[in-house]
Amino acid sequence: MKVTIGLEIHVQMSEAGSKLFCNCKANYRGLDVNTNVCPVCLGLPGALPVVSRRSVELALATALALKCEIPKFIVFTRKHYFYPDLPKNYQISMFERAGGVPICRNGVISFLDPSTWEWKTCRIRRINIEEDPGRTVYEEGGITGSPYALVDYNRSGVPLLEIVTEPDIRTPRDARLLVEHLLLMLEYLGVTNPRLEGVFRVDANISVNGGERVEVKNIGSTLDVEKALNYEILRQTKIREAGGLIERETRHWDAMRGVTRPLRHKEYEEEYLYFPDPDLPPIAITGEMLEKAMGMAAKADLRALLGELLKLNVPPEHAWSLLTTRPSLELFRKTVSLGGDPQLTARILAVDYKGELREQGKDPYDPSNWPPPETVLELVKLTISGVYTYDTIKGLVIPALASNPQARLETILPERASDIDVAVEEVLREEVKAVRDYLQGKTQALNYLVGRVIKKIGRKAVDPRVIREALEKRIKSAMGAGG
Amino acid sequence: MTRCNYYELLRKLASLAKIRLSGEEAESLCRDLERTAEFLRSVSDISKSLNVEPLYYVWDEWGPLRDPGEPRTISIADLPVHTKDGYVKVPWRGGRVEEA
Amino acid sequence: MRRLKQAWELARDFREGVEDPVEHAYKVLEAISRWEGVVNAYISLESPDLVVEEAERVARGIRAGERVGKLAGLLVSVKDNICTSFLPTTAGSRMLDPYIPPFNATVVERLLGEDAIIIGKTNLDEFAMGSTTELSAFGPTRNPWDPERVPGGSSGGSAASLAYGGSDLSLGSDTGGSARLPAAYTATVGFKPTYGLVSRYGLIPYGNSLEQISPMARSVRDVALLLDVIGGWDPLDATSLRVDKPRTFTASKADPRRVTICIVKELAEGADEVIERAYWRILKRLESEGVELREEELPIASKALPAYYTIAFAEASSNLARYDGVFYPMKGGGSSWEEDVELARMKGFGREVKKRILMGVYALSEGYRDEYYVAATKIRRVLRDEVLRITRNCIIASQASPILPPRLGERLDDPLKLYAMDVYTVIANLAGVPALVQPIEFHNGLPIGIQWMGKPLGEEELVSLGLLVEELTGLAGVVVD
Repeated sequence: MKVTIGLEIHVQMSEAGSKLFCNCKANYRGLDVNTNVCPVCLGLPGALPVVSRRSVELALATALALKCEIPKFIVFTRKHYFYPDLPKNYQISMFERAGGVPICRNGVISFLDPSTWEWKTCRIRRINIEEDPGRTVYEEGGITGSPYALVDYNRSGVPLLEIVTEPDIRTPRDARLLVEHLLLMLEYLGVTNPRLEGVFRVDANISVNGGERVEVKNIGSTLDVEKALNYEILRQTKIREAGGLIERETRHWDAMRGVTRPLRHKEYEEEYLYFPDPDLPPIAITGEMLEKAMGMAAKADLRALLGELLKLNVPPEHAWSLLTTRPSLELFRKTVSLGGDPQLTARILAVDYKGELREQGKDPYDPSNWPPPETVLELVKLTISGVYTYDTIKGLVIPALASNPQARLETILPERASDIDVAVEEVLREEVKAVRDYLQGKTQALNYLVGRVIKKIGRKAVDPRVIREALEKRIKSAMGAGG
Repeated sequence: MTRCNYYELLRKLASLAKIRLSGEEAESLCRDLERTAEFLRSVSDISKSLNVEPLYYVWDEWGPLRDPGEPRTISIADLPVHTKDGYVKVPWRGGRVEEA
Repeated sequence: MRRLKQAWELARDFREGVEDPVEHAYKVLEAISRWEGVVNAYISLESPDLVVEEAERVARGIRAGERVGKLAGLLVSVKDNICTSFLPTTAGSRMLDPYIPPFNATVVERLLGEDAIIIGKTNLDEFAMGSTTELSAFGPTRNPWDPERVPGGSSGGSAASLAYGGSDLSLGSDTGGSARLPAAYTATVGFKPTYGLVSRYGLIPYGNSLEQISPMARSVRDVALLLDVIGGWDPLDATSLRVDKPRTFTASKADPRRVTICIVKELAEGADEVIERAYWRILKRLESEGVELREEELPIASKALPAYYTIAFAEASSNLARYDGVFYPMKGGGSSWEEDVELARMKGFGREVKKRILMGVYALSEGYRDEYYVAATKIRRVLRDEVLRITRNCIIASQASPILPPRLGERLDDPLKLYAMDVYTVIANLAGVPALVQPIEFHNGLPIGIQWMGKPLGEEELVSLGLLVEELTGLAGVVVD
């Protein structure tokens, strides 16, 4: 079966500071309804847009990271359609014709398949910078039946990148991997925070076995990209097996039910009345801007970043885990630069600490949930010097650290092996009866002995398993020696 | 009275522009449209002989970029809007805002 | 006809304690109550008590020796498509009746910053789309020089308020002659600045790439005074030029021997005979003073009018898409989004506005865009380049209007006749250059004006020439009796 997929990915530049054309906030989350609004983003007559420098810089860095052809200047165009969430009833966007000049043409994205470590590529057709509309919620009845639409314009004017790929993608899984990779890249570029609610939307074009192209709109998560496309393949295959024809149409992804639904047909051919926005003269892409953007793009070259880690003999799984959790990569780099062993550092951070954060329901993308590099370095040193086994670090120290990353290490470190040994010796000498009971098969006697040892050490951060092991070992060796 | 040749076009334009026209208005606008379109079309013929690029912005100046600044936030309640829980309320399917 | 003190002289005399701002305010309010019933220059007026209070505040400040602004005590009228947060701003449309913007236009902030008293908002053709000020939802404005006639448009309310002494200075807007045509019809001065010299922030848009807020007054020195206050870079308008504030008020009268005027055939011919005769009379007079007259040609001028209207309609159709009843007072009352929008636009817009929107949509639609909109922008390039070439070395002398002020209703039945009134003025908007219209003569009690076009940012030269012409005509400060 031959599947051809092309994607149109809308990503908010949530980290741009301001909206695209006014000083309202780019990240509106947590704000009261309709409080992040001004005459410009409400499109009031007489208010005029002025392009945010940061938005252009971020878009330019993205275009460079995707190896696009960069124009000498960019031109915004007006795209007209009537909708309640669009206050001017036109969107300031870009267009490659009618006098418009998008920020990027003809790029390419390389994305990693982390199960085969194979890099795949997909051509990028173009990137537009545009403004997000407001957010509409519908009363009872939903989009099809609600008597009213309720609009929050806090989102209106937030800078968006519209990234359009060529139909080079072969599987729904690749489509998901591409989007995941792109979002990661945009995070490294400082363009967006991919984890914010509603920060990106995907429209996918799919054609199965040379059939007509079907567009699926409104996909809101990377997992849904794969799901929606799989659903479409199944749906289209069934229709064709039953002798039906696939019509060229636009469908809507219903994430709740996991199905695509047809959208009603438009009365006329799409007619957007494009023309260059007369309020926004062309913006020159200067050498200075390019230089700055290149610096930003260099920091987001995931392939190079991965290569760097592999060169340090970090296993690819660990390396990828570090990369996909940016604070862990930063911490890794700092720890290694302080002298930490790369492989051990990677293992601690990418596998066990990250796993523990998830276990504790803490956000691994929040840098404040990670310890300072000095702490990590100390853990690495303690492991290598054999003071603690890796199991002790993993089983005892990491959980304690994850619940309090700023804790001073000595307050959570368990007793060193030697201290335990001393305590074990003492307890064995004092508790002859219990030892005898144990040797006679009363296994609960061991629990008693463990308790005695813990009490003798007098600190909480001791793994009972370690003590149990030490007791067993000591008793066994005594038996061997005496017997 | 002869039928206006631009009637079809007028209907399409009115639909794109989201303007409802009364029958009378449509008739008189149609005639105006016909005359005005003829008049404006004269730019088309001559421009074909002009080997120049379009001029969308009168000065060959680059547009400015804006650095961060204070928002000029306004209260949506100062506008003549219908609201509900802070949202702007618009009729959607079968809802009439005034009656709400 | 009588002559009033020029506004700059008044402001000076207020500051020097020679004139009393309060007494002056009463005089202007009197003129308004005498004429408004006939002329209808204003859509909304500030309350007289407030105007007097403001004048008293200025008078107190002056008596106390405080520093007051350049416009302290002057009563300025503002076209009703310029946003004011303290007076309704309707753009002459039912769509915005009554709409009070939550912000002031940059020019309004600048007026207030110089202690001007904004006395009211003047009538205009709906959304500035017209050349007669008959197409306002608030009724037509009449020409004070002959109330049977129109004052020109679309800034007809501003011009009329000046012509009967109902304001000292006025702000109009000029998309294709909207400040200059009314100036020609009311014996006032209208000055369209270089595109980008005055901020458009707060001007309700009609044709963004063409229009400028434009000072209007009863003398050349007065428009210069106003231009200096409102002009200069504004970070809120991306099309605003990064130039210093204009300094035209201090310009001196031109030395005729150092002035070259170009007579562009296409802009000199085609007007009614009385107008052509007046045009040549003043030019010959200037020549006799030592001005050099030179002939030039601008063949593309014959396509300026259709090119201008195509661009203006296209931009207008886009700008007016926002009026859908959500944020503005005219509600559709429909029972779906689509119906609601369609009804709001049906009820809110007048016929001419609807027509221009439809034409604009046509000019931008797929399949016609190249034939109309793009073609017009190509003509615009040729025309701009030609005008820039000519104005490099001379000031263009042009007619202001092909006809004397027409009677009410005379031009409304035929759209092409209405558009033809702008044939001489649209050139400066297409080319972006400054243009000044000033009165030169009266014919049977009706004013005749002339238009000067200069090079980009050549405002000062135009003011200098205007001062020279004004001296020859003696028509500074005229108002109806």
